Amino acid sequence: MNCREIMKHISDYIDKEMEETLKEVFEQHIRICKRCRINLDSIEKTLLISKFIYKEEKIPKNVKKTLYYRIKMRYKR
Amino acid sequence: MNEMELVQRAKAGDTKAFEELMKATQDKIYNLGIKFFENKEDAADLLQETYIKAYESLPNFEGKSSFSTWLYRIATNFALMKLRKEKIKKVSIEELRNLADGREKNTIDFYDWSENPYFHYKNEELKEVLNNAINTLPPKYKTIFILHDIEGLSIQEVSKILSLSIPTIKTRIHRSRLYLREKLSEYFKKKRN
Repeated sequence: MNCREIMKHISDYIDKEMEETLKEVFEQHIRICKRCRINLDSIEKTLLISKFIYKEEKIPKNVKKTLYYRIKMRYKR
Repeated sequence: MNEMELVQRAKAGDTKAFEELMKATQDKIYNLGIKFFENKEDAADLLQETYIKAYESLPNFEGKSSFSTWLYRIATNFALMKLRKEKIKKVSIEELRNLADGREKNTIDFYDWSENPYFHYKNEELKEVLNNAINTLPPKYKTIFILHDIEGLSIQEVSKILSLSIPTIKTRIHRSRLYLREKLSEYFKKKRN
């Protein structure tokens, strides 16, 4: 597997969508190729940061009230 | 009572069962709206339109997917329509494709930020850079990235939600990731200089 092929399969590796034999070849290449190691590491770190962007929000009471009111109006139809 | 039992009851006209389904899923749907739009008004719109549409379409729900997946589908379709009207300048599909094909020169030398002091999940500036980059993804890429990489839905689930093939989902995820990584690399390079 060359660097271009590593690039092509890198998301499959991250998503654990890679066949075991291909995964071994992929990991072998990553161990010896600094460039591809950096490539993989920086994508994984991008995904890590993306997990911390959004904070869980609570639904405001008035929004919930309107939602249930609008749904209840439909029951009557 | 499990989800499918509640769905069956709701389909038979049990409004309490529908409300149970709403209670179990509403926080997830609202927060999905926050992620798609980043404002509470649009998230509230998405929440309301999703459940109204779900209630009205309930007789047609065949149970081929889970109720939550079906709701995600309604919510994502609503989001796609709204995101397409946004005025934020988006990156072109061609640029995303070129990045993934390695045709863009800045992908030849990957910038190593493993030891960069600015790399930290608590770095608000870094999160803002990434967030801005996510917002410049074309809607059909942004929704997939959020569903898969942020919400943690599987590729198969995203494929069902968007009625797109698995290879299409994979390609879009891959291109989005490379683009977002490039945007963070640019940030780190600027910080180094």
